[in-house]
Amino acid sequence: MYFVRNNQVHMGALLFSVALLFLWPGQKSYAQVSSKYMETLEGEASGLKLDTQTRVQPQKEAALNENFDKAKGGAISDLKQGFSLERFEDVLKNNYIGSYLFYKRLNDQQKAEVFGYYQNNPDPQKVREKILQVTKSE
Amino acid sequence: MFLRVLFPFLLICFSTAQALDVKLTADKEYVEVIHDNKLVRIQRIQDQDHVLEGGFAKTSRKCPPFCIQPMSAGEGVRTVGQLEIFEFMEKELLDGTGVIVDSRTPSWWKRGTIPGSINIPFTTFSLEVNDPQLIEVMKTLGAKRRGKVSGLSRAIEQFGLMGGSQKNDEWDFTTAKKILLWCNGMWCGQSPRAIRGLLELGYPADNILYYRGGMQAWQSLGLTVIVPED
Repeated sequence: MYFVRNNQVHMGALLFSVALLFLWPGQKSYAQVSSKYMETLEGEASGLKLDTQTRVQPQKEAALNENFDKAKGGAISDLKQGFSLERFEDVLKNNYIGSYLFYKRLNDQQKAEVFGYYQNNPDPQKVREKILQVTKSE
Repeated sequence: MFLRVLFPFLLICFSTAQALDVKLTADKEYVEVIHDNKLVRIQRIQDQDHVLEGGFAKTSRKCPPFCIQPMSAGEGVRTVGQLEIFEFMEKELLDGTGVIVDSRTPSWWKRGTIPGSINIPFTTFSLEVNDPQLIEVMKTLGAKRRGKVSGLSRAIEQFGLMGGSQKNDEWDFTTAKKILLWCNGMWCGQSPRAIRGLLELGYPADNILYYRGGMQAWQSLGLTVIVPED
């Protein structure tokens, strides 16, 4: 009697394990996808066109990046002491675009503060830190 | 005298001509982001008679799979709109503490994306935890794959000590970035799937933002898109 009951328990455990094996992949199905879904997605994407007027206009993009490309070619050098404000901003824009985007959002007085700092500290890292410091003090 | 009056008038006319008529908000004309090492200006189409063209003018797609998505993509995940994206671009994206993720498959991405986004297809988050591609992607997002952790250390962490609230058995999220995920819009399940995958991996929900409007809303507002270079 005990043996039969024990066998039933074992059989139950076995069935449960098999069921778990089948169910287990379902636990991670959040991002796992069927090939049919992927095919439908790809099919929908294949003929897709975006509104042409929303696309970045090549000329405008070129204009925005003109100096940036020059920097890549080495035409514009790194920060050096004695640059005019215009030249300083150009170098920042061309070589340190992240810092420049922060700098651009400062008001005239804050920009003057950064420029003044640069004149005594023509080190890009220090200038960046100064820009961030001025930004945070807003 | 005549010149004194005329000059300011011309100046005003000139500056008005320079300003955009269709702005992002009353006080913001555009946002600039860095995309693939290039400065890209995001603004709206200026032609006020323009009507949306292209694939996103389409209203109906078979459901399933293209079903309307719920407003929330997961518990603790914030759903955002365009203004929050602009703010994200000017803060987190710029200072490197945030990432904008186009979670669509590459065939969607290459037809055009929101400037400043990187492409991490939603399928990536279903890879095995030891898959090098997943580890690399998680590294980009600021999460680190953990080595062997002793039972004692883990027990201490589970009490919230040693930064334990930001760690699980597999990943260390101490330096995890804020991620803003998006896909095609209200009818797109790709970013919700990516978000569910991230949550399953243990990524902190409060570091995840969901732009439900996606490319559909972005196009409807005539906002700039960029076609990634091969």
